[in-house]
Amino acid sequence: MNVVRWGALRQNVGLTVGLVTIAVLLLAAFLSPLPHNPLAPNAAATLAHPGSRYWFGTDTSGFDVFSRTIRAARLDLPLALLGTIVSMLIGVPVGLFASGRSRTAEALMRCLDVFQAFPLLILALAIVALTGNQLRNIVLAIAIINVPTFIRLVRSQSLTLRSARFVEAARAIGASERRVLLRHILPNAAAPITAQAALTAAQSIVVIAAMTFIGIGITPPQASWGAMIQTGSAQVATGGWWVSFFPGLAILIVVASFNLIADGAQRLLSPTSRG
Amino acid sequence: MRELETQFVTRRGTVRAVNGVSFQIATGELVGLVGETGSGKSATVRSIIGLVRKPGRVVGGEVRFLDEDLLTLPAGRLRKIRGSRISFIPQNPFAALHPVLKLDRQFENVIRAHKDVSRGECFDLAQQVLQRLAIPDPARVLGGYAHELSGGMAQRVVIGIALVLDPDLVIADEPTTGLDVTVQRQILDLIVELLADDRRAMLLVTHDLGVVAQYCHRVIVMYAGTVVESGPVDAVFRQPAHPYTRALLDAVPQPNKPLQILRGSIPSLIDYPRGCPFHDRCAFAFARCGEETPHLGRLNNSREYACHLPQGLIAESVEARTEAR
Amino acid sequence: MSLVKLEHVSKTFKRDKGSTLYAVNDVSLTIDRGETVGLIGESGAGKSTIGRLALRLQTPDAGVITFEGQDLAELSKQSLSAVRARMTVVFQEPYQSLNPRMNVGEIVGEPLVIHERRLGRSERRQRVVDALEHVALGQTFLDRYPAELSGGQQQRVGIARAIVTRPSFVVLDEPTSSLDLSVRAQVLQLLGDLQKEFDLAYLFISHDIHSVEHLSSRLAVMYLGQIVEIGPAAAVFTDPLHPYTQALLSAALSADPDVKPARFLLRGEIPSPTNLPRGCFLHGRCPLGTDECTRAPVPLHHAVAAHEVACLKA
Repeated sequence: MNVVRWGALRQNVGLTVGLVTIAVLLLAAFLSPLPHNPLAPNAAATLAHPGSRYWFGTDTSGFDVFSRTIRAARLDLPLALLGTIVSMLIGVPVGLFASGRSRTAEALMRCLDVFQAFPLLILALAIVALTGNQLRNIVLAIAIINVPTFIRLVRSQSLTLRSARFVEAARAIGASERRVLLRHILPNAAAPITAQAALTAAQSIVVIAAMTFIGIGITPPQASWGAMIQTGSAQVATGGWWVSFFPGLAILIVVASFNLIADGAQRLLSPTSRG
Repeated sequence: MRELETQFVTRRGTVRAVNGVSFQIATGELVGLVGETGSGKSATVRSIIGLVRKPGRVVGGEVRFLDEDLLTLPAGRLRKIRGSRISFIPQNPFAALHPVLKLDRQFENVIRAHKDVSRGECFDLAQQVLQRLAIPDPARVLGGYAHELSGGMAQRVVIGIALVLDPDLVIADEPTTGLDVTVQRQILDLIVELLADDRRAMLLVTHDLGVVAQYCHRVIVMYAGTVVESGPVDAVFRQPAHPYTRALLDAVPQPNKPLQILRGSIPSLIDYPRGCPFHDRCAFAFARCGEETPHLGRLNNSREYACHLPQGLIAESVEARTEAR
Repeated sequence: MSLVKLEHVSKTFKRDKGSTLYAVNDVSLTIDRGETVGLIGESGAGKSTIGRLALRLQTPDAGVITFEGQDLAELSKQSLSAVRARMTVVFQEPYQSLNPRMNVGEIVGEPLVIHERRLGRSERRQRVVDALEHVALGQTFLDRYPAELSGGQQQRVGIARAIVTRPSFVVLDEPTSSLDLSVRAQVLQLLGDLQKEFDLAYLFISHDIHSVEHLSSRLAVMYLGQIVEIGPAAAVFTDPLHPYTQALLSAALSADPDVKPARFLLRGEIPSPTNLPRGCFLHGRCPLGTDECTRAPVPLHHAVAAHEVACLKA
């Protein structure tokens, strides 16, 4: 099923930039050698200014901010992606189911309404606090926050598409409900779902940063942007701006890249994007 | 209007939507502009009223209205003309009417953009025009919304908006497509009546030959962005000069007549073919047709056509040279 | 035995505001093997609903619909699905009826995937190519997507999809209304050829009288969910008995400027199908109407052999 037109990638600048940035960051985090060991501080060079030796400077413990910023991508990015994937794995099938006309579907939507009445970030933090300070709970938290969004999106797409003429045509040729869902409705909802996935990833980065900021999920000397911002927050007032600034910048770049991907994916996958 | 040329530049190449289109409309005339999808009739109309959007541009020609060339006018002047001297009736009334504004406000917006009158006067003007359009209880209709109306009523309201400022020229883009046949007749009869009363001219864009045959004085036939024939309706329909006109007339299913098929499809407007755009589907084509583009020439005092056949199909000696492919 | 039979079928829809829309009111219709029944009427007449009822894409509120002798209401889900290989549909808007994410080969092949599972991939491909050739589209179209095709080509793909399982009955729901004039004739001729070759029965729904009349052996005229006249196409066309049919025919504009239309016009507009008039549905607009017409709904009765009309004045 030819869903993506690869040639169009060349024309879709935003999408390419976004994808390349994320890819580069991931590769750098996992593969490339870093100027200084991000996990071994140099106690002699604490709070050094950014310069030729320590490109982004060092923090109060002597960690090289540059190396740690890159290294943090090893944690934050995969977490965000994993959280997004889990949200989709749960949200998409439930959303498809919820677009049916059964009573359970109706009941489900009402439960969802109640669920979303809570401030989900707080809820997620509460759950994580209760269940323990582990990485997988961050993924759980992201899923809790984002599953409802996917359910609603997929459901509304599915509802709209159900009354599309080609879906009626599929029924007219005898397609089963399952076939209609998987072969007709889902592929045509791919564009908004993919875009939403990218947006979810973007938002997850921020959620992860929030959690590691308050110390959930990581143990020092693991690197994570949120934690780094936290350690640097005290230095900002006294002039050591670089400790918090660069991780913050990293978050900004990653979020922007995901947004570009979302936008580009939307344009690329919509059937009307053919000239 | 003379030699209007509109080109659209898109990523895939230059789409020559309107190529050297020329025609004239006299006062009080009802002219039908006929063509199929891709003939350029919508683009032509939009070029006339200046609504060509990116990535399209009008790249040549002039559009003379009364004494001014519409293409060279500054935007402000064009806007003044558009709406009060030249008005437009679009195809889908519900797309043209604001869904959330009451109808009297919509009339107001149009009237007050051009004339300095009070709201009460606007209401009166609107009421008058709706009454002429046989809308029962116009006051109540004006106080309501577009979605409360049936298709026929809504189209009448849109026509009302188009006529309320007494324009000299009304351009209607398929105004009755999608309406029921009986309603279509009612509306067309009304339009013709109103035009005759006020000596207005109208350019009626349509693909329905029946409408043209029964209501229009003159007809202009377009194909692939050019005019292929024009003239008085009776003459053109009884004895078409251009092979495409003849093919179009033959393609209308009529009782007791076998269907005549026109094979092939319209040429690409990007890779514009050499010579006559119709030559690959024409049963009468010969060598010159593939080489040289025919220009619009005069058949007689009132008719023009663009074909290499001398006198088009009217000449007695013309026979189909090849089987319709 | 008729191929398709509708007996006293009615269908209503509930609107959001609580009102009821009476789409189809006590309609009976038969379609025999190989014949074309034309169904004409204006919008809101219920023609498309009849088409959908015949295909069981909707279920009637009253009445019985049989196909090949079987009552559709009594079929199990599987049997009903299997029957869909034998009764198919071509829709009005060609682009909308094709899944934009599937290519032509997949679209036309899907009915085979559903109904003839034992077919191997190459066999299926052969059948698809065969169907495409029957609608004058070559093999090169297999990989193309709907957005790359013209309106006429898209409609041909829809037709190919409808015949690939060798059905006996095809519902044509305004198949040419969205197409250009010159393409209409091509498609109509194609439909005629296919009918002869495969002995297809058609229910040709349209508001364009001239297209319908060409292919139809019998013609039924609908108004507000009722059949007001039905008979041999030629008879209905040249000698319409019901005032509504007369109005409909006279409203059609001929492309021949010498032919002036007769001025038989109805007053007013079609009433809403949520608020049906009492008695004869046309009274109030009909120039022939009298008090007699308001008393009770008028049933179809035989005027001349095989030509029925529902009018007290005919």
